[in-house]
Amino acid sequence: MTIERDDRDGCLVLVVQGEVDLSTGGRLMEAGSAALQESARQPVILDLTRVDFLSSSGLGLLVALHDDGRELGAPLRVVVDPDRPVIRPIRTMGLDEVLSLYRTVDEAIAA
Amino acid sequence: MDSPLRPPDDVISMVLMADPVSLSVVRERFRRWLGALCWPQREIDDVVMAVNEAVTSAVEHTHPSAVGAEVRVAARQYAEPDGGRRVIVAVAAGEHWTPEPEGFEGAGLLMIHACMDAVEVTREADGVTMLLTSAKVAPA
Repeated sequence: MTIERDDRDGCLVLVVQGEVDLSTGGRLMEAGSAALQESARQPVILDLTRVDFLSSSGLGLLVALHDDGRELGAPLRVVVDPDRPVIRPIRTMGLDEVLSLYRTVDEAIAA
Repeated sequence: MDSPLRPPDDVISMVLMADPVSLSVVRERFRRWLGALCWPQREIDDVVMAVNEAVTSAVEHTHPSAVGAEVRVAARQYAEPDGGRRVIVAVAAGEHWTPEPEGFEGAGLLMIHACMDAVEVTREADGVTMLLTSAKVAPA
């Protein structure tokens, strides 16, 4: 799993690529927490469109980051491609009702 | 070397280190195996997800001091009378593994149930085994 950090129109964007599981999730949690801390109450965008696999431990950290974002006043916006396998575990656990989901980074920035 | 004419094996088995780095190994092995058996992508994703969650739970319950601890995974494809195919997967780990829901770990078990048709846990003196039976797919 790799994470690239980008600044777009005043939003921090984390582009995640690869597989998020028990072995890689810790790094994503760290990068996400750091971005939320540094964003100065601006939205943080987590681009998961290039993630091939997302386990329940990965879902747990998305919820934790979402909650941290609410506390810090820096909303977490998650970008997922509805045609890719990652959306299924999100829906299975009912997290499409919890997380703020968008189809593209542009949509997430404009929201 | 595998001959291209040889049919893919109906069985697969592996012994993994009880460590998070084993997860990508087990996912890749199952993806390739079910791909060779011509399973549909969606059902491959479900089996891979369930096996990943079961192995994750086994790894998390293995005491960090248990150096050299292992998780054993074995699976077999079988046909039902109507020709439909399923796989049954056994994930076995040490006696300290408790695959029952406990806090957020309930999420992993919930995911396994969402991805598989049947889940069974057996506990013996020397360890715990989780048996997962997949959904049924069309004959090859």
